[in-house]
Amino acid sequence: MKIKILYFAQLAELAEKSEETKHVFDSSLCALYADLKKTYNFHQEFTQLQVAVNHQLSAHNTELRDGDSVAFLPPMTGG
Amino acid sequence: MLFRITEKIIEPEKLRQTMLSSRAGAYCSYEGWVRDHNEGKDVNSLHYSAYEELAQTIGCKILDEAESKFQVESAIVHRVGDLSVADIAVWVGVTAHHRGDTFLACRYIIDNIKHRLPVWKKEVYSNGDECWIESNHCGCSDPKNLQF
Repeated sequence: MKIKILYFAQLAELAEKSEETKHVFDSSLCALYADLKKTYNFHQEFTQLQVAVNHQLSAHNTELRDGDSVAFLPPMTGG
Repeated sequence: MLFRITEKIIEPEKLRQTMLSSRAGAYCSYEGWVRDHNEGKDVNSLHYSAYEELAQTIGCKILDEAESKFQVESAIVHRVGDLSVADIAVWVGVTAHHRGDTFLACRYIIDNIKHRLPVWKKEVYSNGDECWIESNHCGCSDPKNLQF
């Protein structure tokens, strides 16, 4: 299935992009993040990040579906 | 209710004008400023980035919670992009019939912005180093405010 991944803050800097589309076979967010962590040397663990699927905060065990957009969110530091 | 993410300079006086109401007896605002130091380092500037689609949803939710909890009218404007020392990074405005609710709601909103709004801050230091801040837990937030 085709998944659009959005990157923000330090993750965007490490990935050197703000978004990309990937073909994935595993529907788990954990597996997707493990792959990205290895590719881009993200230092945060999956459990340290919040997840948004289709622009909504989502549970870590949400199953991905074809066409979803996903963002892994570092701890917020606005204000 | 107003929620806005902007790259433009925040002008509090103009925003205050938008809050004026003959029904309100009190107005309280909060401005978060860029300061020139953090944890012993000289800060030259800050860079803020946001996940705008999600920030709209969460920002409006925070305002909705504050308005239900304290019976106020409220607004948030958060800046993104490159900010200099003394720039306003975030503005919160609240009106209500009475002053007590405006103080409480203003505090509720800024505490929740810091913990829940998908905005991230990078510090740029005087020696040229840069660092994404990874925790907003400075101990200033009232824990009661983080449980609606």
